[in-house]
Amino acid sequence: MARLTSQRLAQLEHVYKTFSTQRGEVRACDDVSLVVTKGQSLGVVGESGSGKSTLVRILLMLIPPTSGRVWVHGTDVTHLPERRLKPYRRQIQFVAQDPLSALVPNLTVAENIAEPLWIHRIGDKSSRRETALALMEKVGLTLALGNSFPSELSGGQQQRVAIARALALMPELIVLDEAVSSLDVSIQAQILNLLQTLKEDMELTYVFISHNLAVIRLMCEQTAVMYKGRIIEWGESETLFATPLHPYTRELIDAIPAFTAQGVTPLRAVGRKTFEASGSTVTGCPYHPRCPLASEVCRRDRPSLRPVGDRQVACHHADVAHVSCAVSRRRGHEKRLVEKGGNGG
Amino acid sequence: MSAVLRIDDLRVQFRSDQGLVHAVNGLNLELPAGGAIAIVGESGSGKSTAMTALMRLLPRTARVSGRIWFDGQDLLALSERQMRKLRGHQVSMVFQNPMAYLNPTKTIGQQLMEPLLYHHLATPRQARWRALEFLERVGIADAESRFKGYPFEFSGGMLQRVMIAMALMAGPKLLIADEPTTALDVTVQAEILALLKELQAEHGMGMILVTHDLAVAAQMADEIYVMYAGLVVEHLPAGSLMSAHAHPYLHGLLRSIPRIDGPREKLPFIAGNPVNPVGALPQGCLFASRCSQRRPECNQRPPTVRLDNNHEVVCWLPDIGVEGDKSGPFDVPTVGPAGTRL
Repeated sequence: MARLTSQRLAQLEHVYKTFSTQRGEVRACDDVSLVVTKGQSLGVVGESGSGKSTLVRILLMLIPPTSGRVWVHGTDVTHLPERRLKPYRRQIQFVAQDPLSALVPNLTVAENIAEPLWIHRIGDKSSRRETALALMEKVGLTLALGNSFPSELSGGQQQRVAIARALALMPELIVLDEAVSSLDVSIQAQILNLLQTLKEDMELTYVFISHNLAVIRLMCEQTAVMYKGRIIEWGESETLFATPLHPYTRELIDAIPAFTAQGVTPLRAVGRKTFEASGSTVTGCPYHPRCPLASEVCRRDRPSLRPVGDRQVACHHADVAHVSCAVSRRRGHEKRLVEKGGNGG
Repeated sequence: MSAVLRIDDLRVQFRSDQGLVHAVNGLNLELPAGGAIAIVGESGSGKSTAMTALMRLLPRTARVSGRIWFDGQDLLALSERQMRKLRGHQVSMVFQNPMAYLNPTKTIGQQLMEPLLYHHLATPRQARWRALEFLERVGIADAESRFKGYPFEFSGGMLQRVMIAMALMAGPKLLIADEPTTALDVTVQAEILALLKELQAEHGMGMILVTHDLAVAAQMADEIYVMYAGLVVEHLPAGSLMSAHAHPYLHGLLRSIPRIDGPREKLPFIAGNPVNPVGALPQGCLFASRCSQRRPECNQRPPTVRLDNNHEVVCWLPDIGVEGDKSGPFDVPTVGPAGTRL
């Protein structure tokens, strides 16, 4: 199994995913394209139901997309049979939100960590155990815990085991779905710190799913913002958080109570007047019922992702926002934008 | 200002197979009338247990001692019958998971009217009218038709609005909100918090917000109580949180929260795990084993040091400098040996 030396670790190309439910079709991914390149960890943010987890499941080759293509290391894996997916699956590993349900309860910590090696038939029993113990050291677990069971560990320790398990196959890409969300602040910081160290030491690239924007900003070079199954803004984390171009990104950033160098951001209610119907019935931009910049064109045409300045934005008024962001940052300029809205775009 | 609530030396213990669980170990706090305080702590710090003790909703196996003064009476000394008269009338609570606290077989309307009818505060007709009014007040459009809806027909954010409306129906003097927005999306969280704050001011009631999120606490409350291992380690005005906090635990917590601006650098963290509340507690300061500022004195219980008005800290060295520190008491972060549990 030759490992392809590609800088593009994984790529999604015009991926759609619809689920049929009793109430009709739900479009969880709606024309999602993204590239994960080596060393450019990607953060994906969005509220619940925005399609983050579906995106992850497609990327992990756990579910096939309805249409579109998935590439791993330059190979189209979209239609490969299960049997032939195995070598690609080992390149992308996964850390889930709840470590206790992700670990095998009747295997010890060391066995849990070694299990991926066993599945992929790597090494013999003793070498696998050796690898497991080395990994435990790497993630900051005392070796004495090797024979404990996952349920005997604290939440932070369990997450360390889950991380060690994901590292066992030496993947280049690790997908972390809300991996620190259920942990307490002090433990969360320990795990984030560990992930940062591992990222440098082992040249890992992360796809980090979270609703915590500050965590994404810390861990990822790139950020993609999802709304209703679509990526609506994608760019460098630092500039994206400093000058959000899509009004939804701005709403998200304004909504989180966050610590800045100045103190805590003041409480700011998002004046949502209407509660929109389900996604499929909205024509035009899916965000327009909530958007302060909505104009005629937003209600009519669905904006597609296009380059604006240093990033990709799916908004008809992103250019206006871009210009105005350069002049005044965030708050208070929405009003001006609405007035100018007509001649933008 | 007179206090609507005062808790003196509240202790809660549970018996378990592993030994005695020390959930709350001497909590003191005071809520000024019409004020808002926040209790912040990590899981297991005893914040929810203390509030459940206040509502007298703990299982009978819990050993509770101390005094909880509310409206001139000690809640812990009341009979169950007297307590029932208070709950949902004078004292109300909003929980983290509204779905678990609403009756799935009753309509929202029936449940909203319940506090008024139960306490004989209104006739059914008046109750209905007031329920509709409250539904609209908490931002539920089309209240008339939603009134007949069942909980499963509402989204999480909507249900939390219903819970808030229900808690306020009887005009309580004290509202306890236990992690009211933890299960919600950030945009919805901001709306719910703003609503709570508005209603609190409007009704002039006291509010206790229980949260694990320091930022939320600072946004919502006038004063913050930081709990660790069943004890308040620091009590300070919300405005001083960033500028004047003194306890090493709070300092470590604040530093370990990722920022939304500034440089992206390695996160400092507090090594180790929280104190295990099962069995005998450590002799000295409960935070000592994780504290980088540890001194010999820390083998004894630290004193409560008053630093300012409404600002006390329970520590032997409350004077560590914290302003814009780059060289704080926490060393360069390393991947610590966190496998050890106390």
